[in-house]
Amino acid sequence: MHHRKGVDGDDFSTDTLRDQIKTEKSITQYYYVYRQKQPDLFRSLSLLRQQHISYCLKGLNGLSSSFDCLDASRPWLCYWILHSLDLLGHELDEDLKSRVTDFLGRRCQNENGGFGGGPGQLPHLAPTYASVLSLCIINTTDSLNIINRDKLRSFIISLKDPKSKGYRMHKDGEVDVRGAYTALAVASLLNIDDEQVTSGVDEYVQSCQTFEGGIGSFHGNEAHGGYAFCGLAALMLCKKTEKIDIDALSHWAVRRQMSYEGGFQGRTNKLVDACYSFWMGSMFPLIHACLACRDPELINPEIFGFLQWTPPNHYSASGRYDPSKQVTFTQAVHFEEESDPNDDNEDQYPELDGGWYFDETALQEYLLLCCQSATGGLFDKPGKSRDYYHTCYSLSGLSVSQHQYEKPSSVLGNESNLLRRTNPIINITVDKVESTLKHFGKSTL
Amino acid sequence: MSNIYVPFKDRSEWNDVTPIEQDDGPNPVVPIAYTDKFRDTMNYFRAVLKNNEISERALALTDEVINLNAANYTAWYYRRDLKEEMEYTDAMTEENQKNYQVWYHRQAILEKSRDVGSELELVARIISEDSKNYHAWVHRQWVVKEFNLWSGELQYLDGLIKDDVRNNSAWNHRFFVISHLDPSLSDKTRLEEIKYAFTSINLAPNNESPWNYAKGVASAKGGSDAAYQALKEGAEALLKRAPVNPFGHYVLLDCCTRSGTNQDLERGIVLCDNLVKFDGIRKKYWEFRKQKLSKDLAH
Ligand SMILES: [Zn+2]
Repeated sequence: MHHRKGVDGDDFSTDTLRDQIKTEKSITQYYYVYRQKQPDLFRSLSLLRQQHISYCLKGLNGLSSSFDCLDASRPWLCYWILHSLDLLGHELDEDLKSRVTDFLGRRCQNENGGFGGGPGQLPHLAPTYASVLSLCIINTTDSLNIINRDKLRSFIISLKDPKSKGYRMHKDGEVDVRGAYTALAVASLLNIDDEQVTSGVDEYVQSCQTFEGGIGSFHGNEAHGGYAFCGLAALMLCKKTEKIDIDALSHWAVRRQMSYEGGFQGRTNKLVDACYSFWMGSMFPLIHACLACRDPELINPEIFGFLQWTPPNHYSASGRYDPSKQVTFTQAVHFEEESDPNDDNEDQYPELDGGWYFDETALQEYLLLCCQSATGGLFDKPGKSRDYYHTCYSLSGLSVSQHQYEKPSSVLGNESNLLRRTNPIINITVDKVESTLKHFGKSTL
Repeated sequence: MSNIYVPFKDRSEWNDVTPIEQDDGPNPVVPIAYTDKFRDTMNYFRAVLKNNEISERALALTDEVINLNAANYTAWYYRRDLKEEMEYTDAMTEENQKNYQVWYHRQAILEKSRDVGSELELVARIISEDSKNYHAWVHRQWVVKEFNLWSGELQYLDGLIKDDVRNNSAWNHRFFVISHLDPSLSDKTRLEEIKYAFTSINLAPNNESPWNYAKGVASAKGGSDAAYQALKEGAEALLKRAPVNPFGHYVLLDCCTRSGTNQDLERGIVLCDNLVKFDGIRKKYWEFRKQKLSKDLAH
């Protein structure tokens, strides 16, 4: 078991410290039992797969009136549920696939491009992202062809804000990093990510990196896990990874994992929350890729293939580093004159053990022990109730922490806990990314 | 106003309008079993949208729609076209503090009206209830910048940081303000700010916020040698008192990495070894940092 260290140790009490201590206490009961009976519990530690599947299927077929407040987020409900089911290995029947296609493609898609939060609602980038991802998860010829790519491209371009170079969420709506990410994610998947779509986004994201190293929603705003993921993924999608201070970002990111709880917080001095298992957790494979661009001697560039991603064109197609082009990097590694980085010089600088730069064991302990509802679904932290959003992002984070590229998977508990592998840039499973890209005439993101 | 809900068909002023049902298709996914009131209101809202009606009753209707679901961005958008309306938004903001639409709506209205009124006081009231409300802080930054209201900010922040020295949103806002007051970040400013941060660090040395702040002030805009020196001295003094404080280690490690002399690189390696031991959850990261230092040392 991960060695757990409680917070702070400072006597000086404030609201933040009191809340943190309360949270740690609520989690102690789970870890205490676990520690006592660890040999048995470790083997029996299980993902409640069937329960999660039932919970998801129930929502797909009908939601109570308590969901009135999510009436403008129905494509999100589809995506959270469909992606969870995909990770859990549940195959949808044909009827359900055509119902999703009809609902999103024919009811929520706007005749002028983009998708709204429900039938007849204004098109908006967030439900557009959720709808396109859902249709890619369905992955039938019909579900992919129903997306009007030309009009979607025009819709995306119409939202570009010339002043900040970011994207608005909808016509006359707010500009923030979610806009840049959702626009580039769908554009890349659907192979409509031309220069007009991607240009300037790197400058926008760069302006959102804060003094803490993380990324906020807009210049000056506090660094935040959700926005940091969006910013970093957007930079990868527009092939401008050198535009971020990756050392500062890495340091900020590793700091977000909680020493005691094992899960992630989204901001400095905030509480653990299971949804950041994805927003923060998925940043680590992305950080690995950025570091591999800069330090190919230290980080194995096979990470690029693992992410189904082609690095900036300083690299040859094989993903091997091309030293002749290193000058284009602001922080290029300086090689000895006569040394060839492709030579086998591992003796000098041994490869790392592998694994992401966070503690996968501690995160899996948090999710499996503290965040599963006995009747299916996952939640933020003990004391909160389950919902589809936290179910989706907890399972996505679990998948990220289970799958490695330099060693076999790292699954805590029973082997049957292994989820399908999600692509951490897009957050649909790798099979779905592959067949979507192929359908639209591309091989990598 | 009565709280009893009257169906739209029984309201004489809506007689001329034919409601429009939601086109969910024959067999939808994620169908919501809306309450009757929700369904009825939305049916009339769809009709108003379709006719693009601009009227008092349309405005009143968007009010009802937003009361049922404050995340209905279509209704907010429509409302923005209808009227400039600050009082309404005031009430809605207090009720829906975690909602994107309501905050952005305030911005859109302020942009048009240019009347900032007591906006900062309203934001302060919400922050006093929920000191880390992300939207409220985003909005505050926008207002301060848009209306050039920088003068009271540092004093306001002093109070908040005194209340809770771990309020990272307040520290972030301080950086925002300082970067405006001295955009080039002179050494004088940097040293003052580092001193300010260490006052808080000494109260609670395991509080990450002022450490990040001090480090940010030293490293911004290419960094300053004088500021890094102050940072280093502060961290060394703290580590004498609290030898296993991880933040002191982080800061020293960054100082050593930046300096790049063989002596400092060697010292950095020792710091990484320490962190592997007492900052175990980040063990793999410190091993990576150590590996990178070893590589630099070999060059
Ligand atoms: Zn959450």
